[in-house]
Amino acid sequence: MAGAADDLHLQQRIDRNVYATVAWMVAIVVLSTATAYLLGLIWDVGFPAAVIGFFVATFSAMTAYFAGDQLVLGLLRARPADRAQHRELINVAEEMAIAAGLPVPRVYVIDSPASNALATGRDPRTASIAVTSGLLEVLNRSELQAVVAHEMSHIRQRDTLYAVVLAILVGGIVIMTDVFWRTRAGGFRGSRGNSDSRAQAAILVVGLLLAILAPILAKIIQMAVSRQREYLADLGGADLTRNPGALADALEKIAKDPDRLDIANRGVQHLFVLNPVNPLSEGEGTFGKLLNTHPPIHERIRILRALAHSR
Amino acid sequence: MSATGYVITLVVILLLWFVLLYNGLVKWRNTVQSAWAQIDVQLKRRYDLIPNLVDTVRAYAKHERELFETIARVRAEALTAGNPRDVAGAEMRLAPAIRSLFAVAEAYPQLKADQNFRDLMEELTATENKVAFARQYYNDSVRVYNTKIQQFPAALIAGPLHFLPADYLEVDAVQREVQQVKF
Repeated sequence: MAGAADDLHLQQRIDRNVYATVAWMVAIVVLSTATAYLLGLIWDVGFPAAVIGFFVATFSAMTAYFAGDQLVLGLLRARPADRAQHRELINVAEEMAIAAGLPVPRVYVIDSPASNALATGRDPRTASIAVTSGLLEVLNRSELQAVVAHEMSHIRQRDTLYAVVLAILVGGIVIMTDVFWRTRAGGFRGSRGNSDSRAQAAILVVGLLLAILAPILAKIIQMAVSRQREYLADLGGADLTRNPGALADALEKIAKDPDRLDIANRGVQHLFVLNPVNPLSEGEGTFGKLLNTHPPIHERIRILRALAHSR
Repeated sequence: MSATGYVITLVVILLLWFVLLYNGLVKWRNTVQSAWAQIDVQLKRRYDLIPNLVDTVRAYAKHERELFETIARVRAEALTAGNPRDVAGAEMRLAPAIRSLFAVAEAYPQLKADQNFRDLMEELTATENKVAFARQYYNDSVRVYNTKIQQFPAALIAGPLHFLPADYLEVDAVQREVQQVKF
């Protein structure tokens, strides 16, 4: 297996994630500024609206970058793991940090009967790993190690940076869309221009399209990208433990689990080891596949088993 | 541009290229060194755990005196071992001794139920794993570093600037066996 010897490709993946994150932040700021401008035109306040839109979006992007991990952990009600109570979990995280040659991440537990885990943080120094209490109950030590290794692999590749910034910014677009729908309703009542009502209608349509399309586009691109990352994190995790079979066992157990992590929503589903909204990730047709944040679970298990046999 | 201009540009580019190449090699040589240090840290941690473990087992299994003495002696040998060969030798004797300790514990249900003992067992398992993963990371780093210094054009400057190939650690059978102990 590649190991740290795959350093060149690892560096490429890190760079790609950092560039993609910056590109997303810039794109969101431009998109928000443009949307705010178009919305502002309805009330003849295009420029001030654009300025406000710019600053709000920039503030959101900075928040996503610097505090995104804490926001996500707060949203999921994760609490820091306690050494006396979660000795094995903390030890496993330390083991995988050593295997990856990275600092030990902060470890959190989410109280939920569902089995799932996620990693977040903008770089390895600020990284956190959170697992559900349900996961701790069903997995044995080497399976838990395999899941933590998968998360450590996300951290090593900076997938966590990309994913958390997207989670906050995509969440931001969803909120903006809600606001748009409310202001649009008000805009109809408050509309006073008669001469340029056709232009206003056009602006409204453009604004509407942007507000509707933006989150859809965001999701499609985000998901198309993160599926490949999941395969890479599976392989990277197996490379850390040198035990691909343990991750396959863990995925099988998690997939069988009937409990769902109900505090996880569509804004953060791509952060988890297994999609909490659609666990088997087996969508129908091309579009269904495109809308999955994760590769089909059986395909992931098949690849890991093949890897285990080839050793 | 004049001929001198071209020469100066070329020299600057070559210099920059050399700096980047050199810094890259330094970074990986340091990675290999700190990976080596990490192994020592984890081995020391394991030696520190052993007396606690022995004390806990002794509370339940008083008459296994011979085993406790063996462990104490081998641990002392490992701690005072000066060169890697002696360390490896002491390790070879320490691993089966710890395994016997695990085996003894099997015969004492009360000991197995003791929370302190279970915590120590988990800590020992974790430390064994940490030693193994520290070695694995060392070997991974050595592979990258050795590849870097052997590749052209780094190979031209590596020798003269004392970037010598690092040695791989043999993943010894003893370590792997100890890691398999499950509770």
